[in-house]
Amino acid sequence: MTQRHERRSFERYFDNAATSFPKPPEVAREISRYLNEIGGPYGRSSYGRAVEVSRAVEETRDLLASFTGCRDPEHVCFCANATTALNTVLKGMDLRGKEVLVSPLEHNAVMRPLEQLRKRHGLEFNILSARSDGRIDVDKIVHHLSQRTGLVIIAHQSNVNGVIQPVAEIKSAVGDIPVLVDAAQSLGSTPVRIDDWKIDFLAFTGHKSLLGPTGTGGLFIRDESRLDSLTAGGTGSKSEEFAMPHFLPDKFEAGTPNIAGIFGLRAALKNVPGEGHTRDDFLDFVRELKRIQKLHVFSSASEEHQGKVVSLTHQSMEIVAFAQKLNETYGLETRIGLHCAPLAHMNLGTFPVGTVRISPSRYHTPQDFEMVLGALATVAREG
Amino acid sequence: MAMLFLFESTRVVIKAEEALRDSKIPCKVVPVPRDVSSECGMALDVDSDRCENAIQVLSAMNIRAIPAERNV
Repeated sequence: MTQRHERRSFERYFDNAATSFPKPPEVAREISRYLNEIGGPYGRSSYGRAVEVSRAVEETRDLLASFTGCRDPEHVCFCANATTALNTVLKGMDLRGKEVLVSPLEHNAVMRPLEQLRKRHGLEFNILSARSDGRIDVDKIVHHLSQRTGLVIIAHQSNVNGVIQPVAEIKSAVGDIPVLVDAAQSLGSTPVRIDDWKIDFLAFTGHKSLLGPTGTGGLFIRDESRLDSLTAGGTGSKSEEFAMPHFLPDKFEAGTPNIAGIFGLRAALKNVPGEGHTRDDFLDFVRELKRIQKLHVFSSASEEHQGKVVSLTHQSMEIVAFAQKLNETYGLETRIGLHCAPLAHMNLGTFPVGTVRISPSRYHTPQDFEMVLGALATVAREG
Repeated sequence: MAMLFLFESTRVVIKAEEALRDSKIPCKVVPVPRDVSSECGMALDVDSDRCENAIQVLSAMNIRAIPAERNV
């Protein structure tokens, strides 16, 4: 007999690393308000509606700067998502003849543009030395550096095992070599401190732990002279010229931004919900997960570096069958496979099959974690 | 006579407007006259008797503004 639980849908949704759900109710309300009541462009005109929209967009930029510990909001440029932000850096930098260093847990949003650059221009990339969980060994960074090192790329938090990289220490170890941090998984659930870390670029998305809508994100750029624009088009500035503006943020904001999405993102930033669980509750969950027989858990070896994502496999049950059982019997929604991070799975030993990934939302409670643990234990035992 | 302040980007116009309003200097967002410039669609219109104040406020906040006279 199946044990379907009659619960509100989000309590079964443990795929927040893909996209978060639910969102604060103000997010949809503000998107709707823009679409139904306000309308109008960002900049480009001076009538009241355009000014109101422009104020909203700039307020969102200010909020994002504050959230990321950045003193200069004009250095935060809106992008459609973290993938676009990462592509902006990788394709905008002059990396000819250079080598790029990456963590072993990078997402394909980094690896695919790097592979494109490798095929087109012979760009070389290598993986930094790390522990078995993928956390970079900072002491060994120096052995990787050379005159050819042009960029270091770090996923702040792995979307597979939740490992949080020591960004400040990494930047300190590489010195003047530019560091690009992919904060797609971390921003909103793990502190991000751009200026304290002294990093050069930070890519982020609005639709994961920031609880904003899809189609929003951004890129922090410390020194805009290091990058060419990825996309060229209208900016509402320097309109008499064919060349893209050289100043921020316009240099990297060609075209109409996702204004409706930015209204929603602003609402998310201004209405952060109380936490349904503490960091200790999640760490307890991971500890209990590791006690379940027949499961192999992929997490950080150090709790200090554990973010709110964890993966698992079963010693004999195939991951598709395992996840299907969780879903059909308990309604649990998890993600299986490579999570668009084949490099991470290669380094964790789970390639090519992948893992079952569990990623809670801010709203989940310790009771929800107990429910998941019970379901996992039962399915694992029966497998 | 009013003064127009022109700015290089939408963000700077909005921040300038905010700064002037916080300093109780009345200003109005207006279209950029074509005979003045083809810079971004917005400019700030400030009464000429408050222009000096406006320049001081914007300068203190490191907001680069290009003043232009216009006949009212």
